[in-house]
Amino acid sequence: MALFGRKRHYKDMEDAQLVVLAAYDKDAFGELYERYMPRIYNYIYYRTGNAHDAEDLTAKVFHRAIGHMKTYEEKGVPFQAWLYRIAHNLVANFHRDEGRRKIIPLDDYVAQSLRSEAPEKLLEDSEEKAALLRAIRRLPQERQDLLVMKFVDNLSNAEIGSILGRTEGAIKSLYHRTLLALREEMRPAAPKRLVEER
Amino acid sequence: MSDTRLEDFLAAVTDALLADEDAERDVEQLMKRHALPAHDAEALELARLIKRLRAALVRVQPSPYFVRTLKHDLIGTPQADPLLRWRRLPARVQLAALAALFGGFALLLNHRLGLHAPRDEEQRLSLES
Repeated sequence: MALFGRKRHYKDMEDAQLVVLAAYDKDAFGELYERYMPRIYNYIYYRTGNAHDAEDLTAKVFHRAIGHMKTYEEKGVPFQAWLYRIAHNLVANFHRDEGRRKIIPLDDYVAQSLRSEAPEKLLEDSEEKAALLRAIRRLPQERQDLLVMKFVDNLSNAEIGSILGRTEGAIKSLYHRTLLALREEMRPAAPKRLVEER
Repeated sequence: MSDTRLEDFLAAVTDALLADEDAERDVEQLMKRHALPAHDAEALELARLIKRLRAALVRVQPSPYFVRTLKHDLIGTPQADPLLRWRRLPARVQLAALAALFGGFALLLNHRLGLHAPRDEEQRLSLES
């Protein structure tokens, strides 16, 4: 009966149990993949601006993770935070690479919005969204991370804190400062920086 | 205005908006709850910005092909669940398999219970006569 109930069994397990099994059991890693791949993909998508790079870097995150499962130990950093940190480092390297210092226009995002029936209101909305996304991209990396983790991945301040290595209270303050900075970026006279602040 | 009060208010507005699309009407109540003046321009402006962020930062779906291929690259073809494999078989194959199973079982039962013995006895008696 264990054979029949096996998959359901994995679904009921906590991350910590799966992480121990995943060092030797690929199906356990498969369950962790199902849980976190969409979140990591979304994080990378918004940090790189296109689906192609998001797929490429997401694959790298999980290949790196599976390669290090046997040496991974949960020392105060939950598995989810560990994955985000791998993703964060890969995205940082991606932006550091020569020729990638310009802001990516999120063309596919805007095109996707326009592909629907596109009445004028929708066009206006998608232009406004694109402007907001461009403003987010001009923020320092950590602030971009915070916004994507909060709004796209729906992580709590405590979870974001464990990924960014800060306390829950510090994340709350950072969020306030991020909103103020974003408001400044959205003002018409805001300087147009072409290189990301780091 | 205290930064902590505003920070708490912004966190509450964000949580409310992320939990419920129609939470806009709660903004005024949240301002009251966090002891902010009803027409606090800064709080209202930041609440509007949060609403715009919520509309712009929507979850995207990776392509199913990518999801499948990457999983296969990572863990190989998963061993299919036997029950799932059974369900995928055509109905006539399932029927034939069930018939063979019950036939085999009946034969085995027949031998075990010695139901063939009287016929053997009849044969022996007819040979003797």
